[in-house]
Amino acid sequence: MRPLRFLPLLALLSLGGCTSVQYVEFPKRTAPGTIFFTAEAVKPPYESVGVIQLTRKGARVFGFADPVGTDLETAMKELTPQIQTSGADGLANVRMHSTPITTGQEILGAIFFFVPIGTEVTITGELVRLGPPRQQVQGVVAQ
Amino acid sequence: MRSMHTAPINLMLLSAALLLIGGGCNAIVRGGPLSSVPHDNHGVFLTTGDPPAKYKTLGFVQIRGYGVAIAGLTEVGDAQLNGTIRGTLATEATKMGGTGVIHIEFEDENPQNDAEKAQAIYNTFKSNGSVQTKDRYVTVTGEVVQFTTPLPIQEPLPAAAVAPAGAAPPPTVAIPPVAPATPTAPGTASPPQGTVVH
Repeated sequence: MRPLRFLPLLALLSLGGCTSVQYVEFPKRTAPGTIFFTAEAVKPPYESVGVIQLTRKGARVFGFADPVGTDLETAMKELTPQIQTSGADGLANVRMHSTPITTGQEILGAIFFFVPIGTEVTITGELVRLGPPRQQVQGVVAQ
Repeated sequence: MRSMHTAPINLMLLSAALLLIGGGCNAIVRGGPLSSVPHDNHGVFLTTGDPPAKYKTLGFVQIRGYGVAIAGLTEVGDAQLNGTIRGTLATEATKMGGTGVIHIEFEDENPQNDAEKAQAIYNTFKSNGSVQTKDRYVTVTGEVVQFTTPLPIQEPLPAAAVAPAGAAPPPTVAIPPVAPATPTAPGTASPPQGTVVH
């Protein structure tokens, strides 16, 4: 009879499955001044402003709570001001990676609430400014 | 007396909390610009995306730069995006005979966020002489290519001809590739090197 004690837990874990899904919508360039994200290359002409990586580390507590915000959407929001201050119009060739947390892990995290689950999200991409590149003249950038 | 002992600890906790709330868990790493299109024709063409000309692939390259972060204040070594992409990667591509590296992917494996830097500084000052260090790694991969059709380039303007803001874009010209991959038929030969094609 002892193994039956864990039956509800096993049932929950099997229902939860091993698949973790995260969905995030990339903002599109709707008007000049709005920041865009794309996983593809941009059509020329464009100017490369630099490359950037944002890494956000945190932990899941009680299995579901993410106080720091290590999901893709939060990381993207954190990156947007950086893109604006760099003078770029958006981020091209975006690559994203986030620690997957399955429903089973969330359930286990709720049971063993005293053990936080380490999470991390990373976004990389190339900062681009649309339009022809600014001319370099003797080390001075023409505005 | 009790409040005097607990005050520094409370201050530390408050600082840590402020760091966490104020984005202390973020680590943002930046590198310099790659190649723009039209290209300024300086050095190897570097891009994270597709190239603006036809090419043949010479091979793939992966570089793992190693460095050390010292006391959360400074870094030594090659674990920086700028040096690894624009320096080592471009050099290796040139050695392979490439004129460009495309589809570049990069990852700073363990960047330090503000909270970690603050912790390293605190530990260094607290430990009386021993400096806290952290190994740092940057991995960069890319496809080394040789262009077989002209790459659009942008002619640099003379100093006197710097256009004001809002002016029309400068003319774009094209240069022939460094080494054409396929032999051209008589009568359809590409222009000799150095010729500007409008």
